Amino acid sequence: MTDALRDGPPSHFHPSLYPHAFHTSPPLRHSSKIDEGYSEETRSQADSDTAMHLDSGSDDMNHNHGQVFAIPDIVLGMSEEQRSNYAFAILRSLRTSSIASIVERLNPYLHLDPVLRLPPEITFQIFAYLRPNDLLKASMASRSWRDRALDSRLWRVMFGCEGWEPNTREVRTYEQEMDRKCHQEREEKKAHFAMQKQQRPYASLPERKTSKKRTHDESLFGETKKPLVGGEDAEQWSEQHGIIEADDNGMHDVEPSSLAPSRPISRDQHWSFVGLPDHKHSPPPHRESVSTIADAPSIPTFQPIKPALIVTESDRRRVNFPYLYKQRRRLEENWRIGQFSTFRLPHADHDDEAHRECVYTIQFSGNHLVSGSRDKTIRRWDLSSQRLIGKPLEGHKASVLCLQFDSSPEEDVIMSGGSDSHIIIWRFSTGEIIKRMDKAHDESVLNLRFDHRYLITCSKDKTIKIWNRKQILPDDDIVPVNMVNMTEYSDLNPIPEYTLLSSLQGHVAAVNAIQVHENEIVSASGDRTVKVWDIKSGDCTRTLIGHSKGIACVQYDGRRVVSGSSDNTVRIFDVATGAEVAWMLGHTNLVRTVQARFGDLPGQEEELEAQARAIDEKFFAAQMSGLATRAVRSRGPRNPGSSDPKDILAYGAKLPPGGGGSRWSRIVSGSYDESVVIWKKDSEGRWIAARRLRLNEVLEQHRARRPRVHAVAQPPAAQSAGIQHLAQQMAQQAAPASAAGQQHQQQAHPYTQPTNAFSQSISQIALPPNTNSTNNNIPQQSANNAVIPSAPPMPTIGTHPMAHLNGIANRERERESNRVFKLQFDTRRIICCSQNTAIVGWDFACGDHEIEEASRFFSETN
Amino acid sequence: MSSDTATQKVILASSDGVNMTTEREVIERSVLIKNMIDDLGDPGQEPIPIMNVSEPVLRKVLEWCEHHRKDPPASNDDDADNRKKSTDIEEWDQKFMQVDQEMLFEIILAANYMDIKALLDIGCKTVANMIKGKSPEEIRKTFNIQNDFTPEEEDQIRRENEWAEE
Repeated sequence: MTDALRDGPPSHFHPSLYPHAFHTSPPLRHSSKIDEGYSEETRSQADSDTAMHLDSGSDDMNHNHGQVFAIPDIVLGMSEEQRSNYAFAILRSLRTSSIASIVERLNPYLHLDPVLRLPPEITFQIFAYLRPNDLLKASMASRSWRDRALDSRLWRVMFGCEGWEPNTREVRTYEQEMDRKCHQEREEKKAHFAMQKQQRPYASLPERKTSKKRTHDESLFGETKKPLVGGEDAEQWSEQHGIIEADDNGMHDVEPSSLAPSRPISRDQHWSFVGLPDHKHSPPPHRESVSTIADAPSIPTFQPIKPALIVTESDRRRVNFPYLYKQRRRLEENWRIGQFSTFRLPHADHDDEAHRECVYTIQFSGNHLVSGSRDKTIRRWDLSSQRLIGKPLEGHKASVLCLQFDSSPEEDVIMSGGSDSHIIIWRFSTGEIIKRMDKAHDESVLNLRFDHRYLITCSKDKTIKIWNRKQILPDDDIVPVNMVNMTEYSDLNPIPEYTLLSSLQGHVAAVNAIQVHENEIVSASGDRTVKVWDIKSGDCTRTLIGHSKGIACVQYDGRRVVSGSSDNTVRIFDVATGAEVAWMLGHTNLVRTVQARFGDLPGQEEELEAQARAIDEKFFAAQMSGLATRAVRSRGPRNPGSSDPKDILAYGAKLPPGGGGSRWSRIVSGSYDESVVIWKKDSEGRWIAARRLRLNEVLEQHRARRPRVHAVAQPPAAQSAGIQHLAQQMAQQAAPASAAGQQHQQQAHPYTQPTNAFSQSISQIALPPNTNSTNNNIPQQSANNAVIPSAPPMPTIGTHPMAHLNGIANRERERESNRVFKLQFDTRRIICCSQNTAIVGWDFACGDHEIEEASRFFSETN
Repeated sequence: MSSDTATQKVILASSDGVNMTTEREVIERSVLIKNMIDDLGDPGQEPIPIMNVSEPVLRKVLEWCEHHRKDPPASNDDDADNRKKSTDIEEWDQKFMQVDQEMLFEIILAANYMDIKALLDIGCKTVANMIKGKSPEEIRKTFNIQNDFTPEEEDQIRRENEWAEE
């Protein structure tokens, strides 16, 4: 229980002065509560003194000291109820103004501070029910409120309640790193001051006693507080202050006490210091450095004005969630208002690192990006420097069409598939080939996904294949029931790694894209359908119909499928019922790549269903009243996610129109119309094209330097490289998807392996419908024709000479052509590859170091 | 629980020494008491002391337990923090919580001590609702909080919080 002085209103008087002033008998509450009674009478308030003396009208402060209204024994002997009636009778005898005055004076006793009354674990629970906005308001009530309201664990909850996830691996690594650094720093300082002590006799002045309270008051809010008294205190303050400002070596976890030469390092003392002595004048945080450190000792302390990235809890450094939450919100705001910087891979100064031809696929994770190109290579990139890492990975005999990588030490792998029908497994860190799966499919491998159990691939040969990652026994849980050649294996003869476990057949055209979620595969095909498959049984559990042309890309999060099609739309399907819950038209050409993040909140499933039901009911009601008469069919006008009964086109879905999700939901799509669209839900839940990003604008901004410029400046040894560079540059200009460029490059570029013209042409046709890139003269393969081929699509030799001619004729135009092939976004960036040899990106941190610093701890969620 | 067991008499002693009789099913809303009775195998005839709860508060708590005696037992999932936070409170509970602040906090402390999760939740939601939508000054008024910030600090914090403005 808290003590009376802190509980009650502030008092200038010691309660013991009035031992009998107020007194309940028998005590109704805990003994500690009686203390509060004492403090009541001790309260002094000049402006309400009049009420104390009934209608005397005196406002003499001395009354309070001299005359205490002891309660007569007769009243004390009464029961609670009697006393209450008696008090009421007295009150009723007063003038209204006096009563009002008493009410005013009693007010503080009716309004109690929960932060003082309730333990932190309970105020935590109370605050957890607040929205961040209210919580920030609460943090301004008082210092003790601020302390509890800016609790890091509390904001971890706030973070989660937005549907955001921290990257726990990064968080842990960073905390450990900081702990280690701090420890090291401390040791160094110890040694340093030990030396100083020997050298400077005055350094061993008598130890100063620092009141913790004073330290709070002053260090917390910097010099905005009362002026310093001078003398030793001032000296000490300036020591702390000076050190903080001078601390520019990236190591900001300062222990002030250990900086004061005369003070020995004591474990508990120095944590009372709270960061940021003067946040207004502190320099902007450096890259790769912690801007400030706020120490949070076990004794109550107060939060600095600006939350810091790191707080210290019982001598352990912790990432501070108020900081992460704030930066994440600022980052989201940048997305909303379209504030971003742009970049390209490679950096414009190092264009020789670029792919030689268009880039079909990318994936990024952390600071790494891996790309696969029509130039048959895979390249690894460092996102912060925008430079190539190591050498291009060579192994495919034709275009690299798809890849996935995992740079974590446990996996350290890249898997890629190409138009040579091969799958290659590489070691990410070294670039060496771990395994080749030649002719894994009959035709181009269009997409692949892996997890720790399976590698799943899909192909233009219309099949989806499931392979095991590790050697397993035939009775292993992951083995599908329809396993191919099951009888070959036994306990003594286990299934070797990367054995074909099953092959899923059902699509009648190329399978352009797949996604895996737990035990389900979702596949998008040129046959205009999306199919959902159960891995274990091999059954196709659902076919989603809605797109009017072939489907190029698909994403699945366990609830909804988001797909992009040659019909220029993005659609969202509720997988549980097959209902189409949103239809989005914003592109003017094939939607080749899409990613969605709904940001579901934990435990939202029921809520989504309830929402969906409520909207259905409205729809039925509207239908009864004749408002919504449109037949509910899969065709006809579409709904971008509106809940208006007039717009509903399917009922019975488990998802509300638009697909649900948090207010941070976002879909990003890339198209052959050379743009990327960011979709957001408007206030009514309709998906709208909130922003359109154009690749050529980015490329304009980051024009690669002319190779000639390089060559002039280069020493002789590098000149041959410069010439080679020039040749590459020419090849690039001609290259995108043109056979002419390909041939040109072969002659000029020593890396390039001989091109198999046949496989090249496959790669063109193998791409999703309408992918015949820039080669407009290929005999009118309209989108429709391409979508459902009547016969196995075999390239005709005749296209090649034409392509060759056109390639040259169209060179100028092609260079500017940037059909988007693949994009990925995370909390901070959108990166995409296109017909261009450069990969381009938009960074919504927009150069803000605090956001950049925080975003490494953000994890992308579904 | 059989109806016999459910209506078994249980005597409780408040911190201020007042004995109260209730039924087993009612008081077993409290996980603390339920575990105690489970350990004993039987409520017994002796009053069970409720150390930290005074008579008026205990009466209030029992009133709540009585009303909610048939509720399903509290689930063990600890994801309350992550669940979408709704501060909706059903009507009866809202009325029940219309008490002075001291009683409200005492109920919360008692629910915490006696391990009555649902009551603790309602109490916390009630306080949260008293904070929601208020300006810092209104919050101070509501809870008689002494503003110990200097005007400069207040101003700095207000500016620091601008990012959160919708």
